[in-house]
Amino acid sequence: MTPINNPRRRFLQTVGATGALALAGCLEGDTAEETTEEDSNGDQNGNGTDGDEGLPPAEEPDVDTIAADPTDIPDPVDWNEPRTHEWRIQTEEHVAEIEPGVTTLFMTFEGQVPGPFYRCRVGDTVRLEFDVPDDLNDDVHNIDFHAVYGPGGGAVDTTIAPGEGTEVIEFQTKYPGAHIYHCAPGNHDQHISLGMFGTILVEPEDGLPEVDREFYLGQHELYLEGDTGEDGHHAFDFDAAADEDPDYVLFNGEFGRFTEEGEAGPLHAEVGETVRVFWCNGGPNLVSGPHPIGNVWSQWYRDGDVLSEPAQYIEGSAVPAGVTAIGEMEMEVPGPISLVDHALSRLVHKGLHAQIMVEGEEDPEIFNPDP
Amino acid sequence: MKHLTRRRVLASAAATGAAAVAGCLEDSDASGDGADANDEPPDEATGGSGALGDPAETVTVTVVMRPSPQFDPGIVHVEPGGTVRWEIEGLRHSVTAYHPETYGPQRIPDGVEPFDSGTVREGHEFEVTFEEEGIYDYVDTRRLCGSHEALGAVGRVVVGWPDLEGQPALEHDPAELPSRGETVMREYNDETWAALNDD
Repeated sequence: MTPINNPRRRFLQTVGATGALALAGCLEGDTAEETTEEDSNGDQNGNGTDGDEGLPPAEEPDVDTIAADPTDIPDPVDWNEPRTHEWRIQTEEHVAEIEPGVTTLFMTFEGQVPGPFYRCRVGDTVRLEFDVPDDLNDDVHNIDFHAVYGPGGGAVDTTIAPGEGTEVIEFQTKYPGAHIYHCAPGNHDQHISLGMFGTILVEPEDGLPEVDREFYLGQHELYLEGDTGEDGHHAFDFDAAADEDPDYVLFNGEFGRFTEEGEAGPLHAEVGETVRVFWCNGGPNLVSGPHPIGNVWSQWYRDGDVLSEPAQYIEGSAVPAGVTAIGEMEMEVPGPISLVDHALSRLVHKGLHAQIMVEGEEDPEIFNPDP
Repeated sequence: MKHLTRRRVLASAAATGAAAVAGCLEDSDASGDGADANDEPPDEATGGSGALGDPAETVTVTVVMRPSPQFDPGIVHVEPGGTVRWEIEGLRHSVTAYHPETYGPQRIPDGVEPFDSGTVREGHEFEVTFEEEGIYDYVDTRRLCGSHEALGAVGRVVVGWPDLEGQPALEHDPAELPSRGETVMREYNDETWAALNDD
């Protein structure tokens, strides 16, 4: 990952009939402004009295984004006999932007929120090497897989302080389903809130039905100092977490990243396709009500149960914190599908929003905007 | 109480490319005097009220979320070289010229570059300086499930006393705009013709 510039504070656009632009001076001004602010706070910082009012300035992000790519999912299982996987997972703490000018210190598996999507078949064995490198971590971490029989789902034997060296555990996946994994270090809520959760999919012996596309999104709440949208660096707020009163509820640690206005833009699908969404609700606290605006979950695998027959044509469901559910949709007509938690204050006020832009032929028999 | 720094996003729509902007506006916090941007002298020093028919040198539009997303006032009138400042009063919005390069159909004069604030959130500002006479229509492109545009969050800046004939903003059929975007724009057209067409 590469460093990025300071969050945009403002930009200046000079517009002319000739197209000549005079931008450079003012873009530089952003940096100058940042410096000025830091200078003006310098004495306070030096005297240790900063923080009475407002937030410290936004910090320089370590990474372009903390958000995982929702399309970064391993291929479906194509083997018929148990096999052994060797996975290596390291924890990484990074400063990243929630939205422009708003930063926090995220905690992650492999530098992304949610952590990587792991995929295997029931009966497979996983040999896991777990590391907490001291150049990337200040805190103790571990990993608890809900797909594992054993103490703490593996957490007891993977608990490492930074730089202590790697731990290795081995487990057999005895039961299928989509399951959460997460950090469980004592302050579970803090570490999960800040990004330490993800999905392990244990496919049943016969696999899952084939689909055209799969997406993987991680919902979580951020409990932070300061107000939603306030410029500056927001430290974790343990009291707000205890009150379950988040400042942000997000997919993948970033405000509306996968929307038309977001940095990455909407996800993509095409008319005629079947799309599967893995809705990983890390929490740490809130129950999610997944709903696809402009579509329906034609197959809904409640709580990630892949053995029971899925429910059909579900508008929404309840996904508790610490559960990955699976929904499938048919792409019947073009246009945007908004993926929301139907507790809609989280959409309007707190940033939880992703879109799938469906491209293809209109079908006026199914939907006609102007009959 | 919120402690929000007013940030400005600036744009200058100039009739010629030579009209460079001298520099960034001073940030109120960075300048250290704590003065609110609204207290700056140019706001009250000159010109008319900014209502249609009474052009101002500088006028402020608030972008509100309640009772529904909209620009207040929806139409402002500035002198050539005048500045419009948008202040965000609730959640997140954009101030985006109607132009194929930014969003939707062309509803600004030919030959000027369209402005676009991108997403701007509560406590932040966006400014555009308009050098060339004409009618400039713009929109809040933010979309949750429906769009702010469809809820009527469209706006108009009239610069100077343009000849209404040939203005793309008035030639374009508002029926192409969604839902209340069309309704509100038709009201703006009626007001504009009534105020500016008799000379």
